[in-house]
Amino acid sequence: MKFLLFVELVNSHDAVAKMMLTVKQGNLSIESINIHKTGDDKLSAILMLEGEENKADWLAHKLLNFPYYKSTALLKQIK
Amino acid sequence: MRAADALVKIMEKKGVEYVFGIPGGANMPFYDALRDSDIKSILMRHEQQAAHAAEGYARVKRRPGVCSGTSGPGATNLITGLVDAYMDSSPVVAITGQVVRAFMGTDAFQEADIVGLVLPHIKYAVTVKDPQRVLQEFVNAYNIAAHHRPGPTLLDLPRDVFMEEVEENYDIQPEPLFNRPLPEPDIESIKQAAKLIAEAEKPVLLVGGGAVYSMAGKEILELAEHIAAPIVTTTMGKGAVPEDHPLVLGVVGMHGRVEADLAIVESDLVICIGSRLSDRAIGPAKEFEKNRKTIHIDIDVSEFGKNVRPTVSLPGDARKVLAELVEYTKAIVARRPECQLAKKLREIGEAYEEYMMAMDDGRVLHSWKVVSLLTDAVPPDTIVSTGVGQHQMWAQLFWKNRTPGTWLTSGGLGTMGFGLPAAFGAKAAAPDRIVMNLDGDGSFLMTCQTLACVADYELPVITVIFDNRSLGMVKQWQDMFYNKRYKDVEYNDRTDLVKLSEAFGVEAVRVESYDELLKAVMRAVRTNSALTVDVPVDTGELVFPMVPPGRWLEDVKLPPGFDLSQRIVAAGRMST
Repeated sequence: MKFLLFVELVNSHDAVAKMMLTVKQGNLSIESINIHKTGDDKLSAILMLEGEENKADWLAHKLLNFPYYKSTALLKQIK
Repeated sequence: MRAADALVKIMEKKGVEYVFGIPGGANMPFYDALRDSDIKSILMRHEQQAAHAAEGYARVKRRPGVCSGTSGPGATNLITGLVDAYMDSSPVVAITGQVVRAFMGTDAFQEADIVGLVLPHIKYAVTVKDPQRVLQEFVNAYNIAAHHRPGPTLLDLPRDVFMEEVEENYDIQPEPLFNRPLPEPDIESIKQAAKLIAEAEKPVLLVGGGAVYSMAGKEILELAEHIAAPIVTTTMGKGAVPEDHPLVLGVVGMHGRVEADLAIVESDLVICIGSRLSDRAIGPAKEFEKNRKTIHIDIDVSEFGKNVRPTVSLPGDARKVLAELVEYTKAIVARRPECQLAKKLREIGEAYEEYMMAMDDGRVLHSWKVVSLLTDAVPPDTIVSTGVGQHQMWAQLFWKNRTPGTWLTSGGLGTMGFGLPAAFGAKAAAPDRIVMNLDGDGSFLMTCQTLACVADYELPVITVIFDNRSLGMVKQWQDMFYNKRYKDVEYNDRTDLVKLSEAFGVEAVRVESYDELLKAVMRAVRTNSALTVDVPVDTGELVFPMVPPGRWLEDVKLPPGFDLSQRIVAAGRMST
C-alpha cells in the first residue's frame, strides 16, 4: 500500500535524520520526499511511502513520540 | 557561572542523586562541577555498565537514572545500554562530552557523532552548541525521558560549552514538545471494551512492562478477580502483580510457563495491558489473532495494530484506563465465581514443577532448583536482576516476584551483561533492600568489573552465577536446531570466578550443594554483604518449556518424558 504523510518538524538535522530512520524501522520504501523550510525553526515534509497497511498509522503516531515533530497527518492511502 | 556548574545545580534541583560514569577529556568540566555538588558520582569501569546501572536505578527509583561518558569511545560505549533502555522503555539520561566546537567535523581526537549514532534508538538526543541552551535542554531531556512512554535521552556537550558563562535560571519548564499531554481514557471505547468482557467466556489478562511502570497491579487484580480471569505476563511485565496470587499463571511466550501459554491458547478474549506484543511473548501474530478478540491498553498509540490488530484499543496510562474499565465492567458484569480455567492450568503448572523437582537425582546442581530455593528463602521485597540466556529463562520460570517492580531483566534487546550493573544501580536506589543478581557465567564475564564498584561504594549486591561453562542458550539452539553441531559455545575451566570476584574485593565462594548455597546466600542477606556465589550447574541442561521460533504457543515443547497430553486435552475442553 502507498500512502502520503505530512510531517511538521523542528528545523534540525537530527529531526530529519530521525524521521528517515523511523521510516527505515517501519520497513517502508520511499517513493518521494519533499522537505521545505516553513519558518525560522520549522520544516514541513511530505513523504510518499510504500509498505504494509498497518505501517501508515504506525509511522504517523510513532513520530509523535519524539520531540522533534509538531504534527503528522495521513493525507492519502492508495491500496 | 560556568555552564557545567549550572548544569549540576539544576540536576540537584531535579533530584538527581547519582551519576554513573567515567570522566575523560571532554566531560572533565562536568566532573569538575560534580566535585562541588551533593550528587554522588560513581566511577564505573566501562560506560556500558554505567548505562545499565542507570537503568537499574531508574526502574527501582521510578525516576530517570543519569550516566555519563566522555567524547568518542566513552560515548560509543554507552550505546548498548542506551539501546537496551530504549527497547525496555527505561528512563535514562546520558550526558556525554564532545570535542570543542571549533574541532567538530574535523575528525578530531576522540570525536564521534554520538547523536547520529544513537538516533535510531533514543527518544531525544542533541548536541548543545549554544551554552545558553544547556539548562533548557537538560530540563527537556530529563522530562521527556520519564514522560509518556519512558526511554533514554542524550545531551552531548562540547567541552568549551561546559566552560562558558551562562545566566543562572533554575525555574525552567520543559518546552511544549517535551511535555505533550498524555492520552486520556476514551469512555466510549472503554464501554465497548466492557461489553467485550461481558460477552467473553474465557478472558485472559496479558500484562506487559507498561503495567509495571504505571504501577497498575491493584487495578489488574481488581479486574481479574471480578471477572475470574487468569493473568499472564510478558518477560517485562513479570512482577506487575504478585506471582503467588492464584490467578497469576506466570510468564507467557517462547520460554514461558506452560500454564500461561495454554491460557492464551484457550482464551477467547485477551486484555493486553502495556505490552508491545512481541514475537517472543505471543508467537506469530496471525495465530494470536485467530479465534480471539483483543483489547489493547497502551500509552503509546503507535503500538495499536503494529503487531496485532486490536478489537478495541484503549489509549492512556494503564492504571488510569484500567480504573475506568473496572468501573464500567462492574456495572454490566456480575462478579464471577472462582476461575476453573486458572485452577486447572495451575494444576498443570504444579505438575510441571513436581516433574522438574523429581528429575533431581542429587548428582548435579540444577538451575531451576537453585532459583526455586532462593526465591523461597530471601525476603519478599528482594530485587532480582538477571543476565541473558538460560539462567534468565530459569529465573523467569521459577522466580516468584511478590512485590511490584522487583524484576530487572533485559527483555527487548537481550543484553548479556545487564544483570550485575543493573543490580548495582538498583542497590544505589534502594540500599536497604536485598538486591540479587542471578547471572550466567557468560553474562557475568561481560560486565564483571562492576564488582569493583560494589566494593568501592559499599553497595552490596549478591551475585549467584549459574556456571555451566558455556553460552548455554546458544548451545541449546545448536542442540535443537543445528543437529548438535556445537561451535564456540563452550568455555575453558581455567577461569576461576571465585578468585576473579575476590580480585575486585568481593567475597566469593564456590558451592557444591544446595545447603551450602543457601547458607552462603542467607548469611549475606542477614549481614547485607556483597557476595559472589559460583554454582556449578548441570552443563547439559536445556530450558523447557520452549515454543520453537515462529511457532504458535500451542506447539510448546515440554521437558522430555513429561507427558501432559491428557491434561492439555482436558484444558482444551474446559470452560470457566
